[in-house]
Amino acid sequence: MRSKTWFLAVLLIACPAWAQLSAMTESDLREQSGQGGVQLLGAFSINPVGGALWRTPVSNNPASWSADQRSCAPTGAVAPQACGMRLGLRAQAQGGWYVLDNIKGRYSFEGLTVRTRHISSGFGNDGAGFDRQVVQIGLPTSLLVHEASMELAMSNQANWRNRQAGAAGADTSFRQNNLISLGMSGTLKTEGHLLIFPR
Amino acid sequence: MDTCKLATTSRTMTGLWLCFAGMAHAMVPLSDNSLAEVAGQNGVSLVIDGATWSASSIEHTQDGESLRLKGVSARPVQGHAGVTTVRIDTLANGVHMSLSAPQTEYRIDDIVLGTGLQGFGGLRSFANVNAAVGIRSLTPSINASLEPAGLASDLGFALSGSVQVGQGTAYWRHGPYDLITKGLRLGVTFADATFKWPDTASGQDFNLTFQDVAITAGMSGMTLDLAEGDPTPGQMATPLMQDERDPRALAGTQGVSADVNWHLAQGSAFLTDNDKHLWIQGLRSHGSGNITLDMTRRCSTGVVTCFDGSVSDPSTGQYNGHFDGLRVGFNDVVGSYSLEDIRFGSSPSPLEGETEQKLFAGIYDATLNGHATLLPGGKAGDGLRFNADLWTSNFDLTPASDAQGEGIWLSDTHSRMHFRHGSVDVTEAGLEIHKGEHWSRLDINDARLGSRATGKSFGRIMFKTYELDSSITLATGGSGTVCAGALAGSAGDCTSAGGTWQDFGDQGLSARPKTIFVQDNSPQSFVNGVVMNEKRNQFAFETNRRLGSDGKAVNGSGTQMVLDNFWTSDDKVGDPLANQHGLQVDVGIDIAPTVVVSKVAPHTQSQALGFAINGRLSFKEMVAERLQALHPTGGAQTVIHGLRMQNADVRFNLTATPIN
Repeated sequence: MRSKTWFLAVLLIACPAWAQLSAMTESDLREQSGQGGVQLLGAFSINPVGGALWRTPVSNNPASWSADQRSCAPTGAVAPQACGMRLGLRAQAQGGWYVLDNIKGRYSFEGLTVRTRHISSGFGNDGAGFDRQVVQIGLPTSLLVHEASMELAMSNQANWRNRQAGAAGADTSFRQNNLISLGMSGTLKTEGHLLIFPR
Repeated sequence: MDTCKLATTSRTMTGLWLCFAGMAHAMVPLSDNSLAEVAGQNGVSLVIDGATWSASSIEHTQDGESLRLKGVSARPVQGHAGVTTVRIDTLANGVHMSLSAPQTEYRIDDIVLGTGLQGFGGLRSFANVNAAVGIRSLTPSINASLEPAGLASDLGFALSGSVQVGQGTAYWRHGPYDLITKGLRLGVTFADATFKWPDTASGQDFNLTFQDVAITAGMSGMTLDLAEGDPTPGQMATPLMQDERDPRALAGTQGVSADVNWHLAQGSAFLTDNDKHLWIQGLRSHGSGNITLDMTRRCSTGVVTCFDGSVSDPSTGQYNGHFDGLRVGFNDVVGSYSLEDIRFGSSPSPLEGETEQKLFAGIYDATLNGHATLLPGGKAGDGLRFNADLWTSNFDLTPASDAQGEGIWLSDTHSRMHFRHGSVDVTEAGLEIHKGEHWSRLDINDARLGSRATGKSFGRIMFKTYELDSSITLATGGSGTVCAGALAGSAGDCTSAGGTWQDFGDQGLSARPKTIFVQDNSPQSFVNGVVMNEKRNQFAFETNRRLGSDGKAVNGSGTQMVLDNFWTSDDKVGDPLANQHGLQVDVGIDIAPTVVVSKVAPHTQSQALGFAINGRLSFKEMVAERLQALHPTGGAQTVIHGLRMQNADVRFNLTATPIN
């Protein structure tokens, strides 16, 4: 008696070819050499229109600011200015804070590459003995800095507060002394690679 | 030419006529339209009122194993007007049948394997069925006249029609609980499905071929009935008479357990974004394990040997508590997943990919244990809520390596994740996943550069997180139009502000993760100067470990840097605990033309395709309590006694292109 073999062809459904295969071992993975890496191009702007914490007030007079407002224009300036990022660090228990305040700027770069590479030759004959994998970071062909600025300061508290007595959310005990302002604009040309590897 | 015709002029003709071999017939097959029109005047109509059938047991035995369906039956549903009507009409060369059955209960009391101690549970479904099928005979082969008398090849009949199952409700009874699927509908429409008789001469068996099949299916939702048993004992719930009591008690001995085993030898995936394509090739996966499906309930008060959701069984140190809902359990599900190659291109063919990279990435031998317990109903309206505890252990992960298997490896990695009161919703913003209360730990025992097992190690990395109300929203659309390098809303304003206007189309991926890290204020427990609290945000990096007797590095024997207890905050005057903004990232990902710059002067630029990532990162405040330095015998010293970052709103545009 012939076994019943039903032949079913459904044109609209493509069936994958399932096969009983075992996992590929690491030695199977070794085929032709493949270099690999990525090239990055881009730009980032730090606080182009202020930040998430302080809204820009309409005047540069601290007495008129609400509890969530701060202007970073120089004292005496008429127009208010949106604030950049603020970074604070305390080196001593109960100590004061080192602060980088009003960090702003636009940085754009092109030609930054990242890849892994096996070095076993070159480097004045050091390569043969080295014989290891490194992460090779190709420095960007150009790095444009546009109106980058920050202020180095010291403060007695972690958080900035409005010192003006009577203003909303004010804390008259807050002190921050700005030591120096830094500004940078221009193009940095770099060449070469940075190699990073575990010891 | 003779034609084989039914005597359609006769008003008493019924039945099925086939034209046998031996005659060469030039018959023209009737089209569907013709079939619909030619309805016999005097077909047969059968009206079945209230018919019921049942079988106490249907058993299938094979190789000593048996699958038994107990208590199989069908009966009309009370409260529904219903008679089942079957109608048969004759046609020129075939027959048309239609069936209309009203709401009928189709029932299997239990599905058991083997001895019957364990069952899959019972299934009851309520549905209307409507079917209409036309059957016509097929043209016999032209060579039939040359063959000896008897059945010829290519003889059989063709079916066209549709089957529609609608207004369906299915109850899967598991222990005392029901999983209810509502609004079930299934429609199958087929044209010219042919069935051919076996051809003894050519050795061909039965042959069934479908030319055109359209299948539609859907359901409107699933719910759980965690009330024990039935409202009135013996009278089970129906769509007209639902069970609305309060639930109690635990799961029984029913449920579904599946031992799974899978191999994907070679697969590929294809993504399109406004006519630009990404192929991911060489997808491989294999694995095995056990997956269970149960309905469970939290413990009721007074019950002794039961572990409620947030309580762990002290003897195992694991979260094996029960939550309300449909529990998907994972027991030692070991799997490996990898890919080999990515290509970008503007033509639809992968062979014409413009940029290609042999990138090996994968996760190997990941053992998954734990559960995810699901409840219907998301944060707002429909959707899904979940509680989950998932451990993935002993795996190796490579985000990038080459064909020799050399690259970046995260070896001997363990991960654990816990979610309480999470939810998944589809809103106008996209797919929103809320993590609820979430804590996790990632232990990478060796971050290696080189080969998987012997590559030199950077050291050990440990990362713990503790979050409340974090979420991620996923949507389509990508970045849309972007002014790269300046802030402007239109092409003209952008160029005059010194930026570059780019249009990434209306396709692509948008992702908006919002992560709210929470400060840990609970009593601290230390080991060697490091706080070991589980629900705490902490990052540790250890190097210079000594090797143990088994040749593996001993954790805790080296020097460590620990960033201990970090969190986000709203820095709200007068409300120090306000923490709603968190760390927000808003990113669009597209496949787009990019520019690749030659590393050698004069740094010529060339066109390529790659990923374009545009976005914005913001937070009000991020705080870290301290940075510690640890010596294995000297103990812990705090190096930095506080870190604060405030008022961030960073905009970024980045393109990434694979290079060879």
